[in-house]
Amino acid sequence: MSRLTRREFTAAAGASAAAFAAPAVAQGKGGRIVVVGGGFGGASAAKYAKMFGGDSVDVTLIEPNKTFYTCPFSNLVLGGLRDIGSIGHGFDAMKKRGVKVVQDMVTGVDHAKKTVTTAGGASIGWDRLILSPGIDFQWGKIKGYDAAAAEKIPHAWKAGPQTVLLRKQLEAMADGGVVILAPPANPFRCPPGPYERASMIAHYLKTKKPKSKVLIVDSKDKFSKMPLFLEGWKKVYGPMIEFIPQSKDGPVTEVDVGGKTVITEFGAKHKGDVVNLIPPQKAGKVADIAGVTAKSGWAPIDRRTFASTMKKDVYVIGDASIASPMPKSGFSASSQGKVVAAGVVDSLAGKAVADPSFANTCYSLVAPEYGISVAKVYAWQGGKLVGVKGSGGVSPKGAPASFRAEEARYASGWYASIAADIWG
Amino acid sequence: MKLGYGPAGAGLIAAALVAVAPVGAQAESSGRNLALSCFSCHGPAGKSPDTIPAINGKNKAFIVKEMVGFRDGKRKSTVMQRIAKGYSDAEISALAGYLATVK
Repeated sequence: MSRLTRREFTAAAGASAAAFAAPAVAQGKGGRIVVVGGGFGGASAAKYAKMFGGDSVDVTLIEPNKTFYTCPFSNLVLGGLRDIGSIGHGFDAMKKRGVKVVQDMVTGVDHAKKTVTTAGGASIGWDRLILSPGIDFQWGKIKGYDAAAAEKIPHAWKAGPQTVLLRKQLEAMADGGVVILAPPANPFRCPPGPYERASMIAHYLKTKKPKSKVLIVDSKDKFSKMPLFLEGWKKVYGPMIEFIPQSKDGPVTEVDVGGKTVITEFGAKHKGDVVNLIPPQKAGKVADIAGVTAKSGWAPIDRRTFASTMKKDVYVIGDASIASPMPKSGFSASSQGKVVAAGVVDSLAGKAVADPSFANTCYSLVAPEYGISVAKVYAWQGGKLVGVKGSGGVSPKGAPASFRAEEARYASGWYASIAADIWG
Repeated sequence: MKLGYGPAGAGLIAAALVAVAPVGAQAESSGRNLALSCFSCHGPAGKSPDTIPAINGKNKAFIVKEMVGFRDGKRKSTVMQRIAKGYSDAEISALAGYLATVK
């Protein structure tokens, strides 16, 4: 977006704000909703806010990237099942729906004036601010690992160039090499993600470099869908994937970038030919800028409405929020984005905000024809956000190959559906 | 939006459920909040673009029957029987009512 256009946009936003925002809110008619972050949470919120609010709401989505690359299915790019382009989503459909899409970086939030300022110099007013900033990394928590190191030892935990970098390293590795994957301790984005990644890398190696192996040096002992992954790995990959829990070597505390070695608390050194280190995480930087991050590094919210408990009229959704018992997943973020959009539109219209209902289903591929899932329904019960008793759970253990194949088929169906629901 | 209780053939289950379902605007917004989750797998407005079955254009009674079938284990599935267990009769009625009207 050019500077001039941005100025024009700011002027237009200002004018429309002057024209209707303050009186409109007072009369309970609508208002200005600004959403920051074009991923699963933010893009869902922006699209559904416009759908529910129509002409009564002015919706702006601010996202620094022209194309958003999804972490879900980025493991399939690593495995060679998909190309990077197939997991990129633009915002043209969003624009056609009447959402103003601003490609820019948020640099400031003024809560008194209720404005957001951007790196490009725009100042955008809001009545309700929905933040979906995703995650950032706690650089320095792992000694020797920072943004520069990530160019040699990728995290690939934000999809896009990092995904491509890791894929290229896997392609360049000789047969017989060792790929080290070092997942973080909880909480982190996409709990089953590292283990689907191990699976997809193993699939690639089995197909192209069968003497190689994947070594998981974990900073915890247990992980999401663990019995199902272990069952699948044994069946499909045999000894190709090895898992070292933190109780054996201790959590990963240091990395030797040049030596491609991860070092654990108990002093174990694991050298790889390719190393994928997924560092500890926190709420995305925008949450810090907006002053909605607690000491824990994540954003506390009222789990009924997802309103920040730290700033008024600000909502935090997706990975950045403390939304337990919901996991930090793309599905969760989108589920939250839609329900929060409905609540924000209703509150601007002077209506009561209905109790939330959320769901989550996470598919993982063990192999191209071998899918597993975990699901849960979440409800507001007795003043708490709870996972509904008896709902959800994981795919059955020991299920026949036909069941695993059907779940793999549904995994790709899920991706197509949720992408259409959010960016379509 | 009007609360659509589907065609006259909605049947006894739906009729029985209506009695315990929330009423008026609250029912509409809670039905909406419940149903929004469906679209994440079944596509926007239930119009699935790929391998997951579409659920658009179904009447309320059909959706209620399917959901209750999944929940009570009469209808086999991969994941729906796990998901359907998360909803009460009243909630299934409310979300089916919304799904039947959404375009």
